[in-house]
Amino acid sequence: MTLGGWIFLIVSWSTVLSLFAFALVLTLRAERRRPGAEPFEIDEPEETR
Amino acid sequence: MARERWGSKLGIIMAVAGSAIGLGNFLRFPVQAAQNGGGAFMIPYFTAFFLLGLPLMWIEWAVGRLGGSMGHSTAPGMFHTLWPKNRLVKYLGAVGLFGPVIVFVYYIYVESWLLGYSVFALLGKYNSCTTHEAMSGFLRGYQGLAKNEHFSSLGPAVGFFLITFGLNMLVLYLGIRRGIERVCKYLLPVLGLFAVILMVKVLSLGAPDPSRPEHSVLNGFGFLWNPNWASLKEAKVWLAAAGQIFFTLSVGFGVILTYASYLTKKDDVALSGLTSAAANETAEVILGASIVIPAAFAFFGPLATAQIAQEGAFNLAFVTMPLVLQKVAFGDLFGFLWFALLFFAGVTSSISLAQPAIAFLQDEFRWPRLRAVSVFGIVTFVMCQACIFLIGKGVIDELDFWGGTFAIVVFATVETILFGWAFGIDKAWAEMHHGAAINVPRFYRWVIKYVTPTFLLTILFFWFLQKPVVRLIDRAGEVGLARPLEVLRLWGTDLAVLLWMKDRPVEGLPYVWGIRGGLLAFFVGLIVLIWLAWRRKRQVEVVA
Repeated sequence: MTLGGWIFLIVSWSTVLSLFAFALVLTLRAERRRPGAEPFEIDEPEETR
Repeated sequence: MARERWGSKLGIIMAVAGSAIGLGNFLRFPVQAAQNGGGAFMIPYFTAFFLLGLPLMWIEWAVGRLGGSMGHSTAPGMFHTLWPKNRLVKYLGAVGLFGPVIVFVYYIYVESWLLGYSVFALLGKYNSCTTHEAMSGFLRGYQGLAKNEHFSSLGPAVGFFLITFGLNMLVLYLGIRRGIERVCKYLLPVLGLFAVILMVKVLSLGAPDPSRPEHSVLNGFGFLWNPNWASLKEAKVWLAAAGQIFFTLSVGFGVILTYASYLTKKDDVALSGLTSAAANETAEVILGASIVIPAAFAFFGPLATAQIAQEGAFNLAFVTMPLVLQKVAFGDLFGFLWFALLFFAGVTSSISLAQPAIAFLQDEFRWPRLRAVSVFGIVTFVMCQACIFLIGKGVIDELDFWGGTFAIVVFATVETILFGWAFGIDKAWAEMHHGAAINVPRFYRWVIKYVTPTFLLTILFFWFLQKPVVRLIDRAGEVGLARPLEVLRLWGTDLAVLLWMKDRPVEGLPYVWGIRGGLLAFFVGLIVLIWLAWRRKRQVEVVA
């Protein structure tokens, strides 16, 4: 594998991994911050249609 | 009737990621990268991800939640919500029902092969096939294209199809929370685990043939990642990257619209869209790129791997990988892991493809879920028979072109223009940020309004309109603009030749035209259903 190949592999992998980690951490934090919410629980429907 | 809801935020993120993570992540992506410039392919790939894939993801999540708040789970009602003054726009939503149903019809049959092969791997049924030709013969026997020592009839294929179809219908009948969400929550982590195990196994292969040390996994990674800078000058490479982003994220199918419609109005869509897209990219760029091509290279070398890549995804999955995995220790077990991984990826995608049509019948006709699933099951079961019994006649290619390529590009173009222009970018931006856990960078306003539609129209032109337009210009040059009728006559002949698809085998053409007629009838049927649904609504309103 050439140096160029390594650079593309490392940059690509770190881009997708960091994007995923960033999004996942923010999702977890946003869920914990919601007042009165159990982790990952979505509120029950307010109304029926 | 109470509207169904997701049980948890993690559930919908995993369901959308499960829909996106499919066979394409493990089979299509590595082939596309290897054929289109290696590492350099990642430049157009990430460009397309940030300018096309991610905006489309946000658009579909936002439109889906908006439609759900108005009681619609599918494109016809959602398009009507985006542009209520236009009475015809809901009919464009038929494309968002047509595409996923047509793809479901052939996808579920291929999915059943994966289930069959995972059983065959455990039983060692294909272990006697040690060459490419023998393994191809095994596949042809299973598909009913040849009778050989392995298969004398279509019985096993039909049996595994019935099991797969039944499993899908059961999950769909159980509904959003008890069916789709639960299956994705369990299958996605298992799928990830199997992929990591296979990746570690491939990485540990080194150079399996000591007499050929250059045939190594490391050089296999080089085959995939070494950049070919010249490829960046080719338009086809940029189009291939855009196409890969399109297929991999499951955008343009109407599936994400339907999934997001089960959110409540105050749920976030901006961060959820980003998370599901990022999960798919991780599965594709890291896991998808580290299994098939490096393993094939280590055992077969550069020339054969290039040839294998040319042969397409089916051969890669059902011919090359079983041959590779036979050569490693515990090959039966790894063969099972490979096919089970793809089967799980297939299940989470196929249930998502079925849900829009079922949701349409539930929402617009007020049918109970059992009736909607039953009608969907009967119709698609009948349609699947064409794939089972007419395989080898170009049926799957035809369904893939109209349902899995043409329909999704048209649909994505329409929804993007409706969201950014008919609905208006100000309202669209506000809708995306309602309840959002993150602020989408402001330049995406401009991207969604101008760049993404332009990108989509360019793809539409190059994929479907380039040849007809070039022929028209050529004919005008040959005949001269003074004789427009003659230009049009000759151009009409050219179009007929293009539509006839001369590259297809002549014996398959009657079947191809039969399928096209069937697809047209199905599309017209969807238009009629939308008309009936809105007529029924008007009647209910009058009575009320």
